[in-house]
Formats: sequence, C-alpha cells, structure tokens
Amino acid sequence: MSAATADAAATDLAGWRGQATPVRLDRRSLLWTAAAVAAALLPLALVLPAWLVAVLAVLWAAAVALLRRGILLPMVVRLPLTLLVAGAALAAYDFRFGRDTGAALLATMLVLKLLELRRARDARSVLGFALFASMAAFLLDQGPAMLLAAALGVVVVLTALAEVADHESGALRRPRLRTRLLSTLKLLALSLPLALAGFFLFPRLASPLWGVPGKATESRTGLSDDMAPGDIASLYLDDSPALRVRFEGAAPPRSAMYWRGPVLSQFDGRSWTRTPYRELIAPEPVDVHAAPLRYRSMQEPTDRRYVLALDVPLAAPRGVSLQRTRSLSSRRPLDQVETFELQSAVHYTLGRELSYPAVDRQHYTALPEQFNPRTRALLDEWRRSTSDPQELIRRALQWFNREFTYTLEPQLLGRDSVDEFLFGTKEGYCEHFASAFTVMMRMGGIPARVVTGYQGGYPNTMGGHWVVRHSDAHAWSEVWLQDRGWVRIDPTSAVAPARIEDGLEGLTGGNAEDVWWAPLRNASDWAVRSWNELMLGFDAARQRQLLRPLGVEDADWKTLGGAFAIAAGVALLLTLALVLRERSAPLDPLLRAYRSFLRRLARAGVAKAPQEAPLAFAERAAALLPADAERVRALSGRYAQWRYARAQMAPALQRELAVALRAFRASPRRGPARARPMPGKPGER
Amino acid sequence: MLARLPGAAALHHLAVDASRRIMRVAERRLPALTRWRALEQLPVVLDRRRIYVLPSPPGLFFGLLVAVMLIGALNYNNNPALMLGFVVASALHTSLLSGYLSLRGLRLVQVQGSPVHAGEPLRLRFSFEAGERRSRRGLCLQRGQAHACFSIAIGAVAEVEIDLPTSQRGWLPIGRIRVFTRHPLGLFRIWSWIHPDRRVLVYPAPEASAPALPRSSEAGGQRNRRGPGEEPHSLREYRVGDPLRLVAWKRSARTGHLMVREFETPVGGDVQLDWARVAELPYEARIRRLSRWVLDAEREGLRYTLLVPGTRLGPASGSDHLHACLRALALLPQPHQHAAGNDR
Repeated sequence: MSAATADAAATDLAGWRGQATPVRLDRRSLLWTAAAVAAALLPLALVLPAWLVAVLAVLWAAAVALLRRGILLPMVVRLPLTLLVAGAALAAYDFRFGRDTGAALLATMLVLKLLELRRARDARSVLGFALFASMAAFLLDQGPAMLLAAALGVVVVLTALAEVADHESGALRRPRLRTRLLSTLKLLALSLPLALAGFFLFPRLASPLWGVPGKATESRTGLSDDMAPGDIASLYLDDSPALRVRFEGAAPPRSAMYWRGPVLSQFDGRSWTRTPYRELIAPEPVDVHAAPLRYRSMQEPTDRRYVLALDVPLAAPRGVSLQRTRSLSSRRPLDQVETFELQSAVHYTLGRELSYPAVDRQHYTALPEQFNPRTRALLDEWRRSTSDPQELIRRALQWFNREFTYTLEPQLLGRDSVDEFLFGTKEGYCEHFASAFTVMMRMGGIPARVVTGYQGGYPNTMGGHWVVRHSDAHAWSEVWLQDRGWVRIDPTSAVAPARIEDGLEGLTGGNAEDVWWAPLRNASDWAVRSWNELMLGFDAARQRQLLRPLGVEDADWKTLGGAFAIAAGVALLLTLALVLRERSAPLDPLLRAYRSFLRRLARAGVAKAPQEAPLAFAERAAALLPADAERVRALSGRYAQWRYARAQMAPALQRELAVALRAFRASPRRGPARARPMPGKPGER
Repeated sequence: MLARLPGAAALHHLAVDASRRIMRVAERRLPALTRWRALEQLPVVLDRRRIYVLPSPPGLFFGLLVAVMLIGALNYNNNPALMLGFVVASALHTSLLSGYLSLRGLRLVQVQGSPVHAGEPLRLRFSFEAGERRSRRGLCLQRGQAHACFSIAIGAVAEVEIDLPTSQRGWLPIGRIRVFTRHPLGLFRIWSWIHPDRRVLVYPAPEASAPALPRSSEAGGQRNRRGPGEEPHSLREYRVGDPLRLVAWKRSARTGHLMVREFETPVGGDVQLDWARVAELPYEARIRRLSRWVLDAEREGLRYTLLVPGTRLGPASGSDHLHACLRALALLPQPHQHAAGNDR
C-alpha cells in the first residue's frame, strides 16, 4: 500500500479543546471569510440605500487590502471608524429603528468586523452573522433575485467555514477552488431533501407570536389613506405590478375591472380621507344579480392594510375584514406578497337602503363651509331647474365631456381646489374628476363618496393571469340613488373613455400589448407569479391542504408534525444512501482484476487473508495448488510489482496483466486434497 | 478567578470527584465512551458503536443562530427566509454526517515506536488505513497533550507521528488515544477512543557524567581509532528502529530510499560491565551507570559483556547487542513494584 505522509503541521493546530490554543487564520481563510461577507451582503445591497452600499463596498475593499498584507489597524482607528460608519447608517434612517435600520447596522458591523479578523473564532462568528444578514434581507424583500443572491451567499459562507476548519486542522494541502466549491454544492444538494421536508411540512404558525417590526422608511408605492388631487401622479409613472389575478372562470371585460381600494368619504376642502370608525360597522348589504366571480389575487407588498378586490367583494378571506364600505382591510400591514381567494359581484346593487338614513345621508353630503363657493352656486342653480339626481349626474358628466381635458400634468390648484378646477384649469386626471364630481353631487344633495383603487389590467397569456400595474391606479365616485343604492360613476370615463377602455397607454398612444418586448415581459411576469405562488404563497392554510391527496382533509399541527417526522426520516435516509454510495475514486481496473483472481483462487480452496502480502499468499497458494503453481506465482509477482512500484509499469503492460488476471482459472482438481482454510484467525477482517 | 474564591477548592474537588465517579460508571456501562481499561488488539476499525459526536462551541453558536432564523421566519411566515433556514440547518446536519463518515471505517493497523532513553520524547508512529471507499480529510490524533492531524487518500495508509513524554525505564503502555475530526465545517467534534494493546520499551536514562569505562587489563592495547560517522563501511536500507543520526541523507536523496550507514564491526578490547562492580550506588543509579557504560562501549567499538542479576549478555558488540543490553537494563525489576505500567 502506498503510504501518504501525514499532513501534520508543526505550527498551530486546534487541539481537541480548540479554545486553548486559538488558531490564527492564514491568508487564504481570511480572504474566504471576506468573500463570504461580500456574498452574504449582496442581497442586502439590493435594498439598502445606494450611498451606504458604496461606503460599505469601499470599506470592504480596504479591509481586504489590509487582510492581504496582514495589517491590523490599531484600536484608536477602528473604534472611531466603527462609531462613525454605524452612526452614518443610523442617521440615514433618521435614528428611527425598524427592520431596515437593523439590516443596515448588521451590514455595517459585518464589514467593520473584517478589520479585526484574526482568529478562527472571529471568522466563525463573522460567518454566522453573515448567514443572518441573508435572512435579514428577506425581511425587506422576497423577490427571486433576492433568493439567488442569498443562495450564493450560503454557498460562499459554507465554503469559507470549510476553509477555516481545514486550516484549523492543519491540512497543508488545501483543495483547489473548484473542488472546494463542488464539495460545498454537494453538501447543499445532499441537504436539500431534508430542507424541503422542513419547508413544506414543518407546522406553520397560523398567527404570528409577535409582530413584524416595522420599517423606518416608507418606500413602497401604493394607494394612500387619503387623496388630494395630485397625489396618485407618482403612481402613474410606476410600471411595476400591484396585483396579479387569476380568474376561475372567464375574466370580466376590462372596462368592468374596477379594483376597489380604500373608500374616502370625508372632505376637508382639499383632501379626501377615510372615516375609520364608520368602517367597523357591518358591511352594506349587496344584492347579487349574476353568479359571483371567483378569483385568486396575489397582491404585491404595500406596507399598508388595504386589500384590492374586484368591485364589489362579497366576503373577506382569513385575516382580512370587510369594511362597511365594502373595502377589504387586512389585520396587519401587507409587507410581503399575499395571496387571497376572493369572490366578487360585478352586477350588483350595493346598499339599496341606507342603514341609518339620517346619519348616512348627513355624512355623505357633508362638506366644509366656505369652500368652493362658485361650485355651490352652480349646483344651487342646477337644483332649481331639476330635482332628479340622475339629471344632475347627467349634466355634470356632459359638462366634463364637453369642456375638460385629461392630462397627467395638470396645473396646481389653490385653496378652492374644486372651483379652480371646474372654472379655471379644466384639466386633470382621475383624482381631479372624482373629487370635483363627488363634491358637486354632495352640493346637489346626493350622498356621494370617492373610491380609490385600480382600473383595468393586462392579460398575461403565458401565465393565464391578469396583471394590474401601479400605473393603473384610479379614483372614481359612488353616489347613492333611491332604489339603486350606491352606483359607481366614473367621471374620468366621461372625459377620456380611452382611459377606461385601453388603460393609460390608450391615452398616451403607446400600447402595452404591442411593444416588441411584450412576450419577454409576459414571460418574466409569469416567472415572478409562479415564484410567488410556489414559494411566497405557501402558508399555514395551504399547508393544511397539502396532505389532501393523501386523504387528510384538514391537517392539524399534530398530523403535520407526524408527516414532517416521516418526511424528514425519508429525506435523511435518502441523504444517507447518497452519502454511503459515494466513492471518491473508482477502483483501479488492475485492482479489480486482482480481486477476481483472488475469487477464483478462493473458489479453488485458497483464500487470501487480509493481512497476507500478495507474494506470501502466492507461495501458499502454489504449495496447495501445485498444478497452477507457476501461473499463480507469475501473476502474483507481476501484480506485486505493479502494486508497489506502480510508476515503473507501462500502461500497456498493466492492461495485459489485468486481462491475464481475469483469464485465470484454477485447473480442475485431481486428488481429493481439499486445501485447508487459510491460516490466521478466521474471525479477523 | 474561581479558584480564588473561598470554598472554591472544595467545590472543585467535589466536581473532580463526581466526574471521576461518572467516568467509572461510564467505563463499566459504556466501555467505548471512556475506554480506560479495555485494551484492544490491532487492527482497530472504527464503527458506529464507538464514534461519538457533540457540537463544538462554534457548532452551538451556529445551531442557536439557525434556531433563531427558523423561529423568526416561522413567525413572520417569511418563506424564503424559512427555506434558507432549513437549508442551512440541514447542511449542518449533512456536515455532521460527513464528518462521522470520515471516521467510520478508519482502521488503525499499526502502532510502532523505537525505544528511547527515559526523559527523551518517544516518537510513536500510528498507521491508519483509509479503506477503499472514501478518502478522509481533517482527521486528528490526540494522546495526552500531543496531537497531530492528517488526511488519507482513498486506499492509502497514513503514518502519523506523536511524541510521547517518557520518564521511567521499562514498558510504557501506549495508553488510550483519541481520533477526532471537525471535518468538514468545524461545527461538530466527532471522536472515538482507541486503547491499543501495545507498549513500547523505554531504556533507562544513561548517567550524565559517569566515570570512564572499567577496562579490563587484557584490553588495554589496541584502541579502535575510528570514531563513528567518519568512514562508513557500507550503506544499507533503513530499517525501523535505526537511529536517525545514522541516516545518510545525501545518499538517500540521490537514491530515493532511506539509506543508513553501517559501521565495520570494530576490533577492540573487551570490557566487563558488571552489576556487582557498581554496588556502591543506589539501585536506579546503578542501572543508569551501566546504561552509560554500555553506550560508551558501543561507541568506542569495544566488545562488552553485561552482567546483571540473572542475565549475562556478551561479550559482543554491535547494534543488536547494544539493544539487547539496554533492554535487559530497562526490564530489571522496579525497586517498588507499583510503578510499572501506570502511565496514562
């Protein structure tokens, strides 16, 4: 057997205790640790402020340069630097604490810790917190890009761990980069079955034990709880998806796709706001005129509570309440992609009777005094000529249609915003129209309110779903008419019907469906939707249904725990089977041939004891099998020559020997002399 | 810090006592866990019944970290974080498995050590076989304070050397050794005790400044002028047990085999090294004196005879004779019969 010399490093090794002699890291493990920090911070770099990322990148590069040269900055430099950078990170969030502040601090500390990296212990704690940073990134964003970045982080962190451990045990010859990465990937691949079992079957919490920490900064786009003309404008420019919807049956026509968001009923002369206390009362009743639509909606995170539903939702899913005005409101802010199973009526009568006629009528016609006198005068004049609410509506819409223009860049409005809009600028977008129209109705004595939400959507033929983008944000009015209840009036459609028929692009000339990269966009949107569905949408409710194919209708945590245990066991067995099967190098063909030679001899009655050398065995075999003595000696001799002086034998000769070994057959016995079993202890391996 | 507190010494004593008692019970119930007494025949194959695993301190830290990650992810129902947590957790578990497998099936086939004089470190050489199934990385061997790490390629044999301190002549049992690994991530300590049934001989320490050799009269005339290391008579291949100073390094490098200088058997006078002639010394000092003389006589190329109670060796000279003499001296009965084989 060829002897390999021990990789015993005379310098420091970690002993059994490890701590007694702290091991200094070598350059290679230092650099791996630095690389792991960079990789683990990659996901965070996607969500942290750009300037902080730049500062951290510079610090990281400086730290790597110092590590390469083996320079340790003195404490007088490190401490103020740490305080400075951490302070700057805090200042970026105005010293408010939230998830994002925490993540920024963690990233800062990780990079700064590199400056004092010396020992294996330091490296391990840095690597541990680096893993934590990847996880923290997921609290801020959960897109597929994030997961890719985090996966990369895990690979590099584990590789760095292996590198540090190898250095610690004093391996002088480290594997090459490729081998290293491959072994990490193998480790991860072998871990995947157990990880999947845990992910799908580990019992989930239906409700959190403690609240999700908020964020210090509001950075997400979405509808707000109030509306002043000019607000949504920023949304119109945001082309990112707000909502993805898959209908169970046929989708309603696009012009009927009004996605109901917060309903605003209080006007202070300038902006519309919700009246939260009124929304706690039982929802206004709905008469449904056609079969309700069922659909599954996947709403992008907004950090707000509203849940969008097709006008009007009939029931609230879990964790969501149906407000009085038939808007859906989640119990907690939506900070990640959420899936809702919803049903809505498109043909309906909402609130045929006002539940509290006097109070409601008063509430929905209330206006601040001394605002918009010209509008009030106009409406008073109209009311003198007609008392029919429908006639008032018709007049207002006709007027809009005749004299107003739709633009995304309207002039700013002053104190009497409705007056200035109606009699001055005469241009605006949905907010202006909805606000002005609702005010006019209230002045005409008709209960009215503003509904904010989204209008329209784009079919994604690839995924079979509809995408509603933030640019589809919209506002419209609802007026209450005797016997008809709350009726949706969209004054914008009177001005710019194309806005409703074709979406915003219908007005601006571009068409989202016709651009050359539409298929690409569809495909990527489909990928994101599938990701959301598979990965983000999996929650306690879905988990309970997971075992349905196995006959478990509604799995409780005990069943799930059992299933998890079984699946984890199976996964472990799978891993074990794969690990046990592994063979780093295939057996040499000559070795295999020699084994077959030994098997033939064993069949002839001479078995080789493990401790027996080939030549000694050959002599014994030759003595017991005189007929084959010469052949056995010759083959064994050549084999021994190969085994112990491998380099000297030409490959052709090796092949020849292998063939000869395989071809060996013991001559048939003549005498009755069965060979005695081998000497030595029979029980020994 | 603890030791300075009043009563701490007593507490410490109690703790040590308790741990000893636990170890005694463990030795009885779980011989593989402690392996104090049970001696094993070589080769020893490590199997699952004798391999133990505990997380190392960094392993505990990582475990805690992953637990926090998982609980947080479950609480926030954050699926990607949960996936990440489970992947890391099961990667830790797989690393445990892989570390365990790098010990399992490892064979200790041989332990050798050349005799040294008491007080010199004894270099033990352990031969481990990897077996044909896997190569093994990051294995460490520990005995007492000393330890060495090694890796073995598939199907190969690794020879690991550890220095054993010696203090007393006579048989020195190898004692129990620990084979452990932290491979591959350093998060688990996986170990197995081996207590091979081997002992090595420790020669007596030669007296530092002994009087000159007691030459007998007939051997006065011719002296062999050749000192060792001047002109080797011939070279032969290294055999286990040859002293390192005899290795001809230059020639070895040229031929690729370790070559050892062999000296001509010199012709010198005979000396009688008699136990009775050093009767004035205490027991152990006599042994040390005789050891010194034996070494001196060999170095000077004399033929010498060793006379100790019950044994007469020689007259002869040469390596074999030298070792035979030293062995006889090493194995002289101990003055008090308790000390032998008590080294742990």
